[in-house]
Amino acid sequence: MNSFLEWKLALRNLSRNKRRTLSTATALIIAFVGIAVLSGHVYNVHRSVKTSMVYGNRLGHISIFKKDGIDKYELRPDLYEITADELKIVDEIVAGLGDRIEKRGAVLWAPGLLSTGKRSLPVLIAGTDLGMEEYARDHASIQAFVPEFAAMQERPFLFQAVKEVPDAISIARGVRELLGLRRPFGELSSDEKEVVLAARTRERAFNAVNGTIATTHMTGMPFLEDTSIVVPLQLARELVQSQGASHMILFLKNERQTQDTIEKLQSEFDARRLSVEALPFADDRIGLFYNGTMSFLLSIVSFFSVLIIGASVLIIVNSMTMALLERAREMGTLRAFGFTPQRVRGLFVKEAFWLAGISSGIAIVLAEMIGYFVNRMHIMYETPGIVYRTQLRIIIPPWIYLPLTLVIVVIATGFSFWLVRRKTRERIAVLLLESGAAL
Amino acid sequence: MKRVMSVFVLIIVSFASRAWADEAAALLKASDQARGGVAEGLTWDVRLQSWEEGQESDRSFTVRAKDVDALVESRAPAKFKGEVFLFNDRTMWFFKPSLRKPVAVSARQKLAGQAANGDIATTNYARDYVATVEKSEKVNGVPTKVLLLKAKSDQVTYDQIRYWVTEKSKQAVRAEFMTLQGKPFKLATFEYKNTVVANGRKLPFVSKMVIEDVKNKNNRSIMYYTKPRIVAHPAAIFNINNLSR
Repeated sequence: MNSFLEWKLALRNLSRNKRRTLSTATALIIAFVGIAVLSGHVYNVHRSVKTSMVYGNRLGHISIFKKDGIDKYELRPDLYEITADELKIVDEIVAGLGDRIEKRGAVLWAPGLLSTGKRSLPVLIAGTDLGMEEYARDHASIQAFVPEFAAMQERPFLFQAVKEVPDAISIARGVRELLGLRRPFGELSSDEKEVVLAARTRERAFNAVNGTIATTHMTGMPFLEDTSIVVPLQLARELVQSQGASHMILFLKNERQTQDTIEKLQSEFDARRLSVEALPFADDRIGLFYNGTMSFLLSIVSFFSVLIIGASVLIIVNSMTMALLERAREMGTLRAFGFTPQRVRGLFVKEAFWLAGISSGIAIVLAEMIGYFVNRMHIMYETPGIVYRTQLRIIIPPWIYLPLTLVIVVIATGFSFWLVRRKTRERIAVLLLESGAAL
Repeated sequence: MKRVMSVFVLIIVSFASRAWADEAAALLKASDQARGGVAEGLTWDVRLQSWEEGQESDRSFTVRAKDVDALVESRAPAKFKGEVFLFNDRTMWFFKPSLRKPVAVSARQKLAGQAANGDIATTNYARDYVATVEKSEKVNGVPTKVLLLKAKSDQVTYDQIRYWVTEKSKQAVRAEFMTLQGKPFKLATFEYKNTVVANGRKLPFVSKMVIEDVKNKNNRSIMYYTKPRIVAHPAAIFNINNLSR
């Protein structure tokens, strides 16, 4: 019997006991769909959290801080800011990397006060390069992957408002609530919009500058919503009386080049004896929220995947064991016709391969259908640590189907091989007798 | 009989504690006078020198005070000229001519070095703190009462102060500024070489205050008080609305 006929025979064997085939296939499909849908959800959360961090909160793909600056800048900004001279060299080095950097810009953080003239609120002022603000604030990725975030962003954006009001500032939605500015901006009086920002200068003196509230922004995170103020970099520099920056942010064209870019940058920094460090967005000190969310989600997915796969494997083993017990006579007959034990094993493994392959195909269609309907239902839920409601989306990345199919095929064929091997070692007479007894 | 004795002891203790509290309050009120806490209008100059984490700063102010209000105007260096801190009772404002509005600030915020905003103006500890006498102690051979001051509100400069007031001259010579948990974080010493004449009486007035960080003695501020004089200030200069006009 040639190989083609063996494959054909294996396929035909599936229809010999439909109930058994159906139960095994169902187990395989449930395992496949369960893991695919869970992965689709996690993939979507990963994509949206990352996008809102990298672009929405402008953490970029790479941040460049003074060495230890990320931990110590807040306490000693005079020692841990990147000075104007250092900033020039860093800029030169970054420019030398060519077109792999899509956008770069400096940021100057300053903890301070926002005063309405009657009361003051403690705030975290982020002086931001307006070119970078324009690039990141309404980035296509935000529209595509975090539409809820995009929908809640108020227009005009800061980079647009500054063209009309030079001292325009943007306050987080939570700060706006705290200030009691609930009416639309058009209805607010100039007195309500005019504020003063105060902070400590690099010489540790108290300083203040005028600002005009021109728009609001969303951080997405509760701990920033009540404190975040975004202002043009120049205004922040005037406030703290420094031409430096707390850090520089880089947006890459291809985020897969993050690690390689960091290594190139760091070697250049070290060669130029610059006391700065390049950190990836996923560094715990920068992307703590992202890392925390992803670890939590991955642990949940791993737990459920183990449960699903475990249950499915048990069903598959049970179903296949029963099939083999029932089909011992068939094995004996095939052996009696001259089939070697290897060929008998091959036949059963091919059968399992067909079963896994067909089940995977059905599961892919089913997973896509579930994703489609869930997405159409617009189910909204609240994620801990995020201030806006998120839509439950199942967006299964197509590449995940291949490894999943492989896993399912390996499980099915592997167990089939293991079970048949034991059986085919028995003598033909025993196989025929055993099946007779079973029957 | 036992019951009568218990009531008697309770009455004695209650009277004694009241007397100690009264004594503490009286000492505190008297000590405030030498640190600017007088009802009449008063003006003096302050030079504030600070050393902190290797950085040195030197600033000068003119303080105009009356009752619970004070206006602290920066005089030097030139870049700070025109900046003012206005104290209206316990509310404090910062303003400079380029601003459209004043900034409400806290008395606890650092002004420079170890000196907080609240340290620069008049001292009204009798108004802001509840005092109790802890013990008697000698400081440089001078008998003092050690008072424990607990803040009446969170708007004041320090949560708790241990305050050494001389028994005879009723001047504060030493202070330990403490956290809410009672942990000292700053130490201060005072000198009184100035005098001011009020209502025909010659009153001693603070001439120097040294504030040190408890953990790092190199972080310290010295305030030199000069030219204290009684001046009748118009109420309008303490009105926040007049500053921003």
